[in-house]
Amino acid sequence: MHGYYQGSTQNMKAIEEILKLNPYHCDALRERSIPYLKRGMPQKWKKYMDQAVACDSTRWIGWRGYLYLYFYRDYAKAIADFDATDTFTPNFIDAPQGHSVDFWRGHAYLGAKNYEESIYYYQKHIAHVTQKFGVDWVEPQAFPNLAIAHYENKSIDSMPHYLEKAQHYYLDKSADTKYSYTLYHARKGDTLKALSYLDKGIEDFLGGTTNEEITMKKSGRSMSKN
Amino acid sequence: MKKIYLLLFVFISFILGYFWSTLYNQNLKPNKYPYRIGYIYNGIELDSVQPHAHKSLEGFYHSSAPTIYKGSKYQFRQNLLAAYNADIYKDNGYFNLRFYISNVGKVWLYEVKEMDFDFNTTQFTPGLKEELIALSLKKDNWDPFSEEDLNYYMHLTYRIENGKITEIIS
Repeated sequence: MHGYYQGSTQNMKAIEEILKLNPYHCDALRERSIPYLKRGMPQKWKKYMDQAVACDSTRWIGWRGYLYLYFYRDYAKAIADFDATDTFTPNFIDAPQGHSVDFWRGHAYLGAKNYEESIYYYQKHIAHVTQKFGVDWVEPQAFPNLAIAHYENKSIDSMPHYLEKAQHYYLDKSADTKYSYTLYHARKGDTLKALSYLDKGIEDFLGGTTNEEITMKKSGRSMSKN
Repeated sequence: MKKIYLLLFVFISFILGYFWSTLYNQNLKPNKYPYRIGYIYNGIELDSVQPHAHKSLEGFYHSSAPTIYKGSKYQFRQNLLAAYNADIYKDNGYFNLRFYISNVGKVWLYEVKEMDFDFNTTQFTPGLKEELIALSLKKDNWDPFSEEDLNYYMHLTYRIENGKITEIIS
């Protein structure tokens, strides 16, 4: 499989060879589903991903939740799969695609317009990571998203605390954060401040800052053009 | 003596069987994956296949090219939602289109699927499918992928809730 493009004839044949030798190779079952996911073929994706989940639920059900969230915006199915990880791995917070299921549930409930639950899970994620590793290790996206959830939940006064954190971790370059500040100040009736943040947000959006730039700046290294 | 002949017979049979098995598996067995995943086998032609068929197909690894939208994906979304008659439909599910775009930005082959939220094949209200195909695949929406004379693979999945397009995926 090494070196074959995902979804190429050789890649798929190699996966089938593995499954011929071991039909219960759960990683191969999951691997078979990926090209269908990425090529916009949901029926085959679901068929093969469900086989992977049935084969090893502990390993793949959280992943399926993330895929339902990101690739199909099916918030109910995503939440069901994330909740299932609590049962399969109690007292352990799974992290499909590198983020905690609490963080993902924050996203999913926000998409499902259940803002109280969204706030709960983002706060759970922040509290857990802060307690275990320190606040600097919290996924920064949790902060502006939590502010958005508070905005939608009409708990406006809770926004600034999280927007300040977002501004800090995004090194003051985040169009989303500045737009949220715009909404906050507009709600507070401070039109001038709202417009000022809107201008800055547009500047950030057009200027753009890659995650790589933020990482380099944080580590004190300079960006090389090579 | 007879035992030697028997052993020789078994040995030769084994060798022939091994080579036949190898030949079959490598050359004669029906290929489950003759083309890359995403290849459109039984598409509906919007243009004659002949001028496009032998050109290379791109987009099967990444399948994501923001510049493929004429303008931007935001404009595509705005145009689609403005033109689509959401009010006359009450359907729920996913509407999926997979298609090839030629080097002049024209869609010439496509495949369509109507699904419920569990991805089971279904049929939406008559007219919805035709309307979304026309609105999605028209030339106004698409740019060529590059200056090279090739075809680009693209896919769109609309999440439809009570007739309204709530998400445009990919």
